[in-house]
Amino acid sequence: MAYKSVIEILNAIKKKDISSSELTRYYLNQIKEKDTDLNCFITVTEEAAISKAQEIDNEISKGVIKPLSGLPIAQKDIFCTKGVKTSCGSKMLDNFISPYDATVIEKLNNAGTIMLGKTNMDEFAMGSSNETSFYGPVKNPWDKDYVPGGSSGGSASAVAARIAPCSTGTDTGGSIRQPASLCGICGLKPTYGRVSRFGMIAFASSLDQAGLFTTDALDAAVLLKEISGHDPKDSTSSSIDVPDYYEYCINNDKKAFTIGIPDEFINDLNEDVKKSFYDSIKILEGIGCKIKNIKLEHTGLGVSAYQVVAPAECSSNLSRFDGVRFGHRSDKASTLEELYRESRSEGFGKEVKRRILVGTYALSAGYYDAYYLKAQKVRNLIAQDFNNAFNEVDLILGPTTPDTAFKIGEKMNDPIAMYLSDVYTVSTNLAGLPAMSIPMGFKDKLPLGLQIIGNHFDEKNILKLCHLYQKETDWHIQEPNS
Amino acid sequence: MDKKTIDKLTFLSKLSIPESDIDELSKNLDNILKLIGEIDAAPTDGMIPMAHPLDFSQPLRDDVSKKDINRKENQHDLSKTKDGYYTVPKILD
Amino acid sequence: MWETVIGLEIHVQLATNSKLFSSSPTNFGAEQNTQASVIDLAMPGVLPVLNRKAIDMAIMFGLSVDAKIADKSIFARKNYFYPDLPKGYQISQYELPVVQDGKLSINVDGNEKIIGITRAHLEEDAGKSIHDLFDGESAIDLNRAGTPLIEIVSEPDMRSAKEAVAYLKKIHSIVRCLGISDGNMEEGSFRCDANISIRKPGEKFGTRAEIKNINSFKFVESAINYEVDRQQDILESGGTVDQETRLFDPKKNETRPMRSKEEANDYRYFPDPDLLPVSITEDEISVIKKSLPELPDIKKERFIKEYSLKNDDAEILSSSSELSDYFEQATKTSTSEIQLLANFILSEVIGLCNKNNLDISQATVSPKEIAKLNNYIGDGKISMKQAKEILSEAWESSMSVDQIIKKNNIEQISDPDLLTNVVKKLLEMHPKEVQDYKNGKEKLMGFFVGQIMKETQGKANPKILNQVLIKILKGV
Repeated sequence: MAYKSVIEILNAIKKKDISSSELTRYYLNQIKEKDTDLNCFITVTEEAAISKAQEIDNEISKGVIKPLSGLPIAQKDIFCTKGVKTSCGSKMLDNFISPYDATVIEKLNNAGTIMLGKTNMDEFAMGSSNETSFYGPVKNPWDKDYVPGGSSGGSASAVAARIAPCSTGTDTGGSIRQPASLCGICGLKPTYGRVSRFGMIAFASSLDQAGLFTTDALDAAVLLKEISGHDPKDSTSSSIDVPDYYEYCINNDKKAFTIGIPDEFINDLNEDVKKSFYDSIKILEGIGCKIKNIKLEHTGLGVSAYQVVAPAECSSNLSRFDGVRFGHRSDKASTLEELYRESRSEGFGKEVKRRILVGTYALSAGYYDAYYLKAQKVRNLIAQDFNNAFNEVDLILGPTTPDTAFKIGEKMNDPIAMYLSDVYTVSTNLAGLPAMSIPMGFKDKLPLGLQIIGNHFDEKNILKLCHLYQKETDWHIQEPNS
Repeated sequence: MDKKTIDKLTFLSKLSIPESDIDELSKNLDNILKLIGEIDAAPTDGMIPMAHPLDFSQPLRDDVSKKDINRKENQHDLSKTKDGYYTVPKILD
Repeated sequence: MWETVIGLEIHVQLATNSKLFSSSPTNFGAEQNTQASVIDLAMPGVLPVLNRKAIDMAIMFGLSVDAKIADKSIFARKNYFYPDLPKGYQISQYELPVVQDGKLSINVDGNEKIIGITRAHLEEDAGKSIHDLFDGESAIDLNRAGTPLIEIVSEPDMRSAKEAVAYLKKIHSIVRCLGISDGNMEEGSFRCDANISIRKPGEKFGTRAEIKNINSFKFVESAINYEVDRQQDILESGGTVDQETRLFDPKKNETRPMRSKEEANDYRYFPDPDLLPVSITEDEISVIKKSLPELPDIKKERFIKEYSLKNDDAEILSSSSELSDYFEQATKTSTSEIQLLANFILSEVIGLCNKNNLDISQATVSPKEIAKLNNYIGDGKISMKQAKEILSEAWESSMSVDQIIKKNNIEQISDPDLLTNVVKKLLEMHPKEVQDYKNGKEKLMGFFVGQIMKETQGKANPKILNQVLIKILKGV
């Protein structure tokens, strides 16, 4: 493929070097060829894609160019897409055709993108390996015996395998950054409230955020502008101005960032990860950044607090899946109680049921104070840690994950081990901060990811730093062997 | 976690766990509770629970009704409706 | 021996154009599920956005019962499963409701009493389940799901069914006067649950039963009375009252336990993460305060002061804005003592409304016409009896009072000279009776009056006639 990035594609389409139809067909063919193995897509919307591509070509011939005209994109199957199956990776929604579009989908559609299809994911976004999907596991294109990460495994793998130039994902405890790290691509989680959650099937309402997978930080900058902004349909979406992130990355002179490295992020790192990480630090020092050691004292409580808040909120959010108005309904039910119990038990997988039960427990009478309320206080502790840190530094750096991808099946019987792999990512969700993972090297031919965390609504500096790093390195250009 | 508690939780959350899975579930839940129990020791005296990451107030919507409801589209799944009503097994009151 | 303790929970449907958290219309009676949007149906991914008007209405209510308005108010999820509750949780309020610590005064048998209002909060209404449409199935209509409600919780301050009804009626008149609800109990926009217990005076509160499905003022009394008897029977025979939810059955006039729903439900309230805290400023509150209409209690005091009305009459006339408007319109062209006008309206106009099952706002005779009619009585132009007949005819036809009087030639004869002639003529025809009267048979006055009335076809002004008769009889 001649075009290695979203920006190259947009330019080519604008200059009419390639038609939208041709480009779209290229990716659809790539999917046909490679996806049987990888299983990135739950639904491929071939007809609609070709039709939209033709529409875009018509517009372009009339001189109408939109910010993302002709850009093919894969959408995580957690975003409601009107008239198209939206499964959230679950049997519960296997028969669900959404009657409306999520705001993110609407914005991207209106900006001229072409949806290739809906990507595979951990069921209801609960998981870190894309192994809990009703539609089977997704493979990591670097080594198909390994997981791509989760929950946005399909979206990450598709971009890594170059069968989609970019994709959307969601991140509640690391579900964009971790798969980006394991798949060797860029994954951006914006500030909580930066992007509308309307139409994004809710897992943990106070943690969920929509984000992007790209091969290049500048691509993420371009796309972020198009999906950000206040949405009157989402009470938690922010009205803070959306800057031109791309323009900032290219034109702004800032280089000498003060970067904090939390002690808590580098204790217990294995040697290979440590080496890659310290090499990355040297590169950043080389371009003029100052490195400072900082403390994020309560990092260790992050996973525990997360595993209270997220299940609690999801136990309530998933109550609407009752088999009454849409979704899976059991045919074994002769009473209302049976309808509920059987439909839900048949429709949900093990991990989802576990989290619902834990969440119900954490909110129940007698336990609410000790669990949910306490966890929300711990959130405050963690947020304060970050607040204090950002008084001294511009950005915070660390590895995205403790290690590279693990083998498919390796952690499925050990939920706790799975949860602990989120240790570097969950705190940012709890504090609502933006963060990005970019490739920083390899260990045994599997990718490693570097995480940059910024202050609230400071995506522009995260992207800027990533762009500067990517000017000095070529990890992000590496592709898996087909 | 004892069976009684699990039963209460499955009742509240409308799930049914087959007998054969109860032991494994109980073990998993115990481990999870152990993990999350670590927050117990956290120094949170005087801290306010953080319900939202950002400190904003609820935006308000003007009281204008919109006539954009399409029942046909909303009831795409006809197996669950009759004459526009949703139907469930009869509820005895 | 037993003291009844009653607390009332009233759910008032707010008269907003759109629902509490979605823009769906709130009209009553629409075809099933045509007013249920993707948000009301709890489709995956939808989110709630709060209706400004609902907050304003809640604040209006709080101000009218002297309550504290929260400067920060939180919405919470109340989690339970029922088909008319699409999300599997109701968005309601738990801690930090909009309104707290209010009170209002009620008047029962001439005694004023203050009833405390613990709190009033906003929440969304559920849909409707209909159990007799389809065989073996229940039908669910979610048009109503998401409609804004304000739940008003009283302190357990009421001690009798009468007090409960008075409180209920007061709340009813307030919400209607404020224009925040049409308060229609039959259509379900004003619903009452009663918490009832009994105890020996001085002892702590007994176990209470919650009675649901009370949808008229009359039923409130019946339900409370039945329930108090029931609990009394239990306690007097040595049993204990169960804490339970019971349904009132208006056909059998009794309460019975609800079969489903209450199986130790733990609602697991927690602040709704999809909604942010609502901030209410002092400025916003004072803007609303300035725009409040005159409340029934204030109006009543004004009626007593301004029009010298009796307390009970002022109470009734101020209880609804339609009635008070009607009354005050009439006062504008009244030349009589206002109390008399009030009497006339209360007995005759309200009487006709009740007979024809109409609300005062549907009265077919205008306040101006009523005032005129009452003025004529005062002037002696017509008698009370005649006025009632004219009113009856005016009610049915589209004729004015003056037209009817002219057409039927009703005008009362009040001219003393005219009457003197008639009386003199009559007395000349009955010399024996005149003599008997002068000899002490005072009762014959009735006979004379009757004869004159017959002679004048009822048009003689009774007061003047009496004066003339006495003058002549004593004089001649």
